[in-house]
Amino acid sequence: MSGARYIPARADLRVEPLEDLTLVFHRLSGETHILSPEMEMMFSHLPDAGIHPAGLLRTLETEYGAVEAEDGDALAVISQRLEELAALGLVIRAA
Amino acid sequence: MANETETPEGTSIDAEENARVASRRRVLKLGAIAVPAVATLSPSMAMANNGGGAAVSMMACQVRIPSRIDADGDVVPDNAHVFRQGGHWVYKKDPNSKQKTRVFRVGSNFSYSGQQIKDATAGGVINPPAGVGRHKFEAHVRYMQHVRSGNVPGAGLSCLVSLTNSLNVANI
Repeated sequence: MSGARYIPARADLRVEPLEDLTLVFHRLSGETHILSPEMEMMFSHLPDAGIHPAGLLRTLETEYGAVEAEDGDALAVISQRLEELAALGLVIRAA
Repeated sequence: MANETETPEGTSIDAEENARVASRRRVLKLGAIAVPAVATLSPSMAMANNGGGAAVSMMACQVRIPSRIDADGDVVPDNAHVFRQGGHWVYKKDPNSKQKTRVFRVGSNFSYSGQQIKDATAGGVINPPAGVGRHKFEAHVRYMQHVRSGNVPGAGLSCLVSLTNSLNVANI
């Protein structure tokens, strides 16, 4: 389990939900990101104070009852997705 | 997500209970890691494909400036001792040297818009935006050049990349 905590950079973002996709405009880079529904769900469940991948998995499990991954390891998928969001600057990785 | 039950309007207590049970049975299916979950439209892409796109994104993007930048355009470390001397903020960049380097400070959310940077550096001449001193702005331009060349990780990199042609002030 990774020790990193992920904090959404909401102040730097403008989020516009469309039907199934979500557009996120990142003011600092001028980039617009299109999030898949799955990614949007993870992003929208990040508390402002930040959360560890395992914490996010628990949140989603509470909401959905069960979280399954095609690859078999839901925590690994969530960790990977949070890393992707961090690489884009949409979330900040705190130690 | 897929198994969500539709709740008709004017829900009865039974229907609500059913919906609650159904929602408890929902399973969130996560896709494989290898499947991309984000697509990105970037200003530099817009510039490559369409000159018109660049002009729009240039005004839209912002480059955030760290709160303490020294005269060389480097970020002053958090633990550096910054003090006033001769009316300026300075610090000892090299602890083993007596030389002091001037520090320029801004508020925690200070940023320039792409358009401001473009206007301020038009024609290779530095013309600071209103309210920003010349020395401070020059330090900020040096900082942006460091970010652009990848020497320091900095926010707003792709904004800067899209400004490459305008930031042609290498000789400052």
